Amino acid sequence: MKQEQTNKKWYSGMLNTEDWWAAWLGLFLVALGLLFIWDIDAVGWMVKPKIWEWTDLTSDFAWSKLWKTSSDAYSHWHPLSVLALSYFVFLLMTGTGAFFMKWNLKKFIYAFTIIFFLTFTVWILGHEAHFAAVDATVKGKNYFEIYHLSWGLQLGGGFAFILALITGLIIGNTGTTMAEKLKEAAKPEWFIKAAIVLLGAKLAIMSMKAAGFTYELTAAGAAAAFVAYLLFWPIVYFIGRKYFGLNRNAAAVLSSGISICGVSASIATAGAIRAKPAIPVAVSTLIIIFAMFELIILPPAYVGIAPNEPIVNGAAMGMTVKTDGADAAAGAILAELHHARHLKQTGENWDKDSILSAAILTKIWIDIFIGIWAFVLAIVWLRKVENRSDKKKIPKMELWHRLPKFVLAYLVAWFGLTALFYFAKDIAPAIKEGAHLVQGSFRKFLFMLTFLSIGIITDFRKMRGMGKLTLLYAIALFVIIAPVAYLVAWIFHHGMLPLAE
Amino acid sequence: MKRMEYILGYRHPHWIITGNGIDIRHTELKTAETLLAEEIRKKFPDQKIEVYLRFDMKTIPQWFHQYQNHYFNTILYI
Repeated sequence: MKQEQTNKKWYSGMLNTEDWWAAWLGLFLVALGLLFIWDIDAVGWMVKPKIWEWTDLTSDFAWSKLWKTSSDAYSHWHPLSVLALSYFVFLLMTGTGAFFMKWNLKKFIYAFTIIFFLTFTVWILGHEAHFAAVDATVKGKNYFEIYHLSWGLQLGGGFAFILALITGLIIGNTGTTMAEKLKEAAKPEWFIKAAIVLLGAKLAIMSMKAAGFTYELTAAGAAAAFVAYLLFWPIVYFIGRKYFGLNRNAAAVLSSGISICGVSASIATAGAIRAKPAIPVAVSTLIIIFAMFELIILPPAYVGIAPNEPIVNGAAMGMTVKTDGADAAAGAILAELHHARHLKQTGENWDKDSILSAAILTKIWIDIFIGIWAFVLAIVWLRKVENRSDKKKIPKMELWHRLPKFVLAYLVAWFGLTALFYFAKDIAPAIKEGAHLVQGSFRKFLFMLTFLSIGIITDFRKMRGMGKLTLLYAIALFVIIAPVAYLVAWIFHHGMLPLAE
Repeated sequence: MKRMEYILGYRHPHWIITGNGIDIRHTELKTAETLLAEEIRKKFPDQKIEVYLRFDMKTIPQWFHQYQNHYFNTILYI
């Protein structure tokens, strides 16, 4: 007999939803990092790519030229052992989640294994010196000079992200059965939400380093997200109704999807106004495809237009690019491009994560706000549109059910570690070391998994037959959302610069 | 007040309400809820009833769940 899946109690879904499992995975890794307090390095084995050069590699091949461990404690391990351990731990973590979520474990393991090694290969390829090395000295090394490069793209870690995206897109759009098989484990939102929890640990480190900057980033992000919300939604709703003849439900779902946080907002809104699920399915297909365009176009465009406003660019990205995965991915590319450019021009090593955090924080506030917005819409639709005030009630628990739980884990990681830094100063260095390792290689690999997975699930052919919605989406995004988001981001963030590394 | 619980699902083009021996299908949710109220009223003519209608997420495509794992729950008063 088929067992339904409903949200009944406050703890519903804790063991069988991706959102909760992103929280568990993120917090588990943060907890592993905390073992440093007892001098236990339980995370330093994670693989970390090195910058390598192909003629140097082929003339004298060694695995150790391609990657290393995250900490010196495991540096005596053979690189292939390190890779194998990283694979098994990632498989164990994600496989446990897949098991509890009752996915087909055999298919998941098969798909995840291919995605893992494909992602890893792309990660390593992306760090070839001609792509990644920047002509500047960092920590006493200039890889451009070390490898005597005559040319180079100088994109830092950004090239690996772009390569992963392209690889995923090729797989996802060639129509092979492989893409379908890989979709079993291509879960960009799951991977990115776990990565964002780890970014909470990074924010704690930033809070310790520069509390004022972190506070300003957070407050400005909240204000910007709030203002943007109140501007975007009514404008897109009005245009959808007035000029595109959409019915109330379709206009509301599309407005939330375009102007708030993409797929999750469109589903939350559709549920709140009790629209047929077919509406958010159609809108979400569009959102995912447009997010890909945003992800490819906006980072280089922002760096080109405003090279000296990296935090403004990051915050604008958070308000413009829909879905958490695409936003974080776009933020990561933006951060790498800004970092490489600034390093090349000034020799100063910016903390890339300051820029990424600007992109993530605005999105986090939006994610928090969506539950409240959906609740308001539910009441408006019930009282004004359906006009059934005498017979129905919206349970207050709806607010909780729609709150993204990974956001809670992000806040726990951020404020929990910050509290430890302040109240347990004697162990603060150990906590920082553990947090640094976890939010470094682990988070970056989760980002890489996200890039590849986004590519795999994005099928441009699905845009066929969605002409009217596509046109409205394009107009709303590029004529309204992007410029207004940029203006709002500039008002609240201009003049802010990333922290120095 | 008596409390009852039903599961709400959707299979194009019908909203489906099931539970307690009832299976109601209709293209309009509002009508499906009215039919449910009538069925319950037949069984319990003299009682005030609070009906918890919970949406079954399994009726939403699985790939959606990574973005948002809740559609809606509603309380009906009969």
